[in-house]
Order: sequence, then structure tokens, then C-alpha cells
Amino acid sequence: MAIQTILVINKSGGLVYQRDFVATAPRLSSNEYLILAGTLQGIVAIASQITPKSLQIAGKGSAKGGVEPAGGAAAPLVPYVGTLGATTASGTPMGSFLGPDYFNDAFASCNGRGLKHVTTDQNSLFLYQTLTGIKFVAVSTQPTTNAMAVAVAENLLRKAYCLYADYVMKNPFYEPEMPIKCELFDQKLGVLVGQL
Amino acid sequence: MSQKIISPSTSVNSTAHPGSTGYDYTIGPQQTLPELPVSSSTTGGGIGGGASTAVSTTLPLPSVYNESLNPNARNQHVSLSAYAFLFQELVSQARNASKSVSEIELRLHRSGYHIGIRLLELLNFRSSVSAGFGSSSSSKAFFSKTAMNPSGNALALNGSLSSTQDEPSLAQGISHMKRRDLKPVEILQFIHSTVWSYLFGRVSDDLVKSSERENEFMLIDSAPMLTQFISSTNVQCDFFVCGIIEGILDSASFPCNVTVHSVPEPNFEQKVVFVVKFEPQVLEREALRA
Repeated sequence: MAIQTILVINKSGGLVYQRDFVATAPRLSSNEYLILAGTLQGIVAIASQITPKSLQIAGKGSAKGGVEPAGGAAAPLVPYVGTLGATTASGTPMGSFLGPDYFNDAFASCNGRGLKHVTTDQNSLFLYQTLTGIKFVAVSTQPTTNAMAVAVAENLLRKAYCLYADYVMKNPFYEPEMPIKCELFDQKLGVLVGQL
Repeated sequence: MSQKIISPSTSVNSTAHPGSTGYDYTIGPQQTLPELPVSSSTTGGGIGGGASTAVSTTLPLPSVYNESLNPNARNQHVSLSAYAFLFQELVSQARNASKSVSEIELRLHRSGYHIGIRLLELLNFRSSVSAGFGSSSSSKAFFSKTAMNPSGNALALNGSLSSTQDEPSLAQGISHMKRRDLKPVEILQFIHSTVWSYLFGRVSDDLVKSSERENEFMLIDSAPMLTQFISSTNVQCDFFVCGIIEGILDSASFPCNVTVHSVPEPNFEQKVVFVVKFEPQVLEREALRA
């Protein structure tokens, strides 16, 4: 499974970043990507509405119970998706991380009731929602319903979020909520996806 | 962090909120101290007592004045992330107030300049303290990647509290003051090693003399720490560090002009070169000395 596209959607549903990693993949027009971003924003909101209240409360502990229950709630497996810290393959640390990796442990997704995963016959779409409402979306080249793949994608997107925090939010020339044009973010995200 | 509840004046309790800071209208003016573990308040003992019963903890603070002058003091770290956000604001402010790119860079340069002036004094003083004096600390980088976690901070504070009592005065560690750097190369070496390790935790990558011009030196940093999160734009944010260098050199009586140039290399895409261009009078003085 390779990552075809990564999107970043801001909290009001606007597409702020889109990047293709597979050159041969069919491309959408920029307008279609904007529509996709807006649609996802709406679906996430609806998904969190239709999740029964009891499930939302019960799911607090295990952070499960979205519209796509990802199975295996007992011991969340933490897949390896490369590191951000000082021991990256290139030898240079990515971002403000000192240790090998802050995220070797399991984590409870804060997205307990929203949309996480959409599968078609051709692609899978993974969604990671941050506490601040920013959404990171990855589109893979193959369809999968595997819980492992979902966990890999979620971990990858969380690291993309770390890079976003470092290279986008700490850049004085970036206007919040506006399209991201940061060379370093592009570059580091490329390295991160390349490690996969 | 427990939120303090505003209680009516009848329920004033002198020991209820030992860590609270800020003005409390039910108590009136009081000395505010950083939140310290309760256990240390018993060992620390009280000084100054306080006139009102409302003084919560009266501790001899870990001697911040001593610590800042002591080259081996603990915890001289600043979180890099916190600094990055501060620097971001500095740049934004310069950007909003300026009309052109060179004006932004000039403003950054000026902010750094004043740091440089102070840094020269501080670091020269610290170099005078003999090496083995006082406590040792493993790393002395000012901008550290690890933010101090509250518990670790409290521990360190605790430790220094107990040790300040028998710690000798800083003056005992100074046998003779460091001599002023008189040659351009000496002061540049000082920047290359002492200043760089104070600011960034490592010496700068290289210090070279220009082969073309007599009065030019180059300080090379292949991974500038302060601007590592800033994607290269037409504004060169490293002018802040330029200002620091120029402030140091100017107040050490080496009038000069410092500029920075970005020299991307395959492995070090953010590599920068600080070009120090001394005024002709510096070279004239050198010629007289020789």
C-alpha cells in the first residue's frame, strides 16, 4: 500500500494543502480537490451526529466507535512508520524532536466519533482529525479494510501533524487558515512518506 | 493546575493556596513566588517573614543572579519550540512595521544587536570563572530541544535550594578576570566557540578568512538553529544572529558590518554564511600593533 495523496483541510473545511506522491496516479483537478475537502468536512460532521450518544460515551476509553469500527480494541498495535527524531535515515532530525520518537507508544485517537476510514474498490481514504479541527487525509493506492493499515495510516498522519506543527505553524510567513506553501514542510513530508 | 476559587473575605486562609500567584483582593498585596513543592518550604526556612499573615511561602529563591553569572549553573535552557514562536512573533512584528524586505532584515538585525552587546559582557565574565568551580551541568545550550518539564524543574529547584546554602560565592571561583580580546581573530574565535556554544550548544561549523579581501571573515553554520523551521523566502531571518555578532564585535571595539548569505548544499539545505567585514580602522590598528 502506497500513499497516493495527502491533503490538509483547515477547520472551516477549506483545502489548504494537497500533494501527490505517485506520479502515475489519476489526478483530480484542483477544483475537485476543493469539493472533496468540503464534502469530507460535511461527512465528518454528520458522522459524529449519527454516532449514538451511548457509543460516544462508551468509546471514550478505547477511543473506538466511529462509523468504521476499526476492530481489535484490546491492545492497540503500534505500527512502525518511520521516525521524526534524531535517528532518521538521513541522519538529520526532522522538527523539534530530540529522542528517536515520541510516538512509539500507543495513542488514543481523539477522533472517537467521527469518520476515520473510507474504502472503495480502488482506493482507501484515511482521515485523522486533530483536537483543533484540522483534518489530515491520506489516500492510498489500494483498497484495504485491514485494521493494521488503518493504524499505520493514522500514525503516519499524526506524524504529518507533528511536521505541520513544526514547519508550518512556526513559520512566520504562514498565514493561519491559508494554503500552505512551505518548502520545508513539502520536503519533510516527502521524507516521511518515503520512509513508509 | 488547580484553578483558584475566589473565596469571600471571611474565609481567608493563609495556607490554602501556596502556589498561587497574582493579586488577590481578599488578601491584598503579597509577595508572589513561583510554585514550589511544599516539602521544600520546610527545609528552605523563611526569610523576611512578611508583615501580614497572608504571606504564603517565604523561601530564599534559588539565587537567580548568581546562577545567571555562573557558567556551570543548572537549567540554562529555553524550550526551542517556545523560542520558535517568540521568534515568529518578532519576525511578524518586523514585517508589519516594514515596507521593504531590507527594512525587515534591518529590524531583526537591530533586535539582535542589543542582545550581542549584553552577551559580550556576560560571556566574558563567565569565562573568567575557573572551569571546575561550582556545580557541573552536562549541556549548556541556551536553546534546548527539550522543554523543562514541571516535575524536573521542581526537582532541580529543590536541589539548588539545598545546595545554595553551602555553595561558595562566585567570586571565589575567579582568580583573574579574562583579558580583553585584542585581535580580530581572537574575538572571532570567541564568537565561533564560546558564543555559539552558549546560544546553540555547539561551536559553529567553520571560521574562515576571505582570500580576496583582507578585512573579511566568514562564520559558517550549516544548520542554523533559530531559523530551522522557516522555509526559505526572500527575507533572511538569520539577520537576527547577524545583529548578535555585530553587537558583540562593536562593543568589543571592532566596528564592522555583518551580513548573512544562504548557501544551500545537498546535505545542508539551510547552510548560511555570516560575512564579517571589519571597518578599515580595525586593520590600521592591527598594522600599528604589529
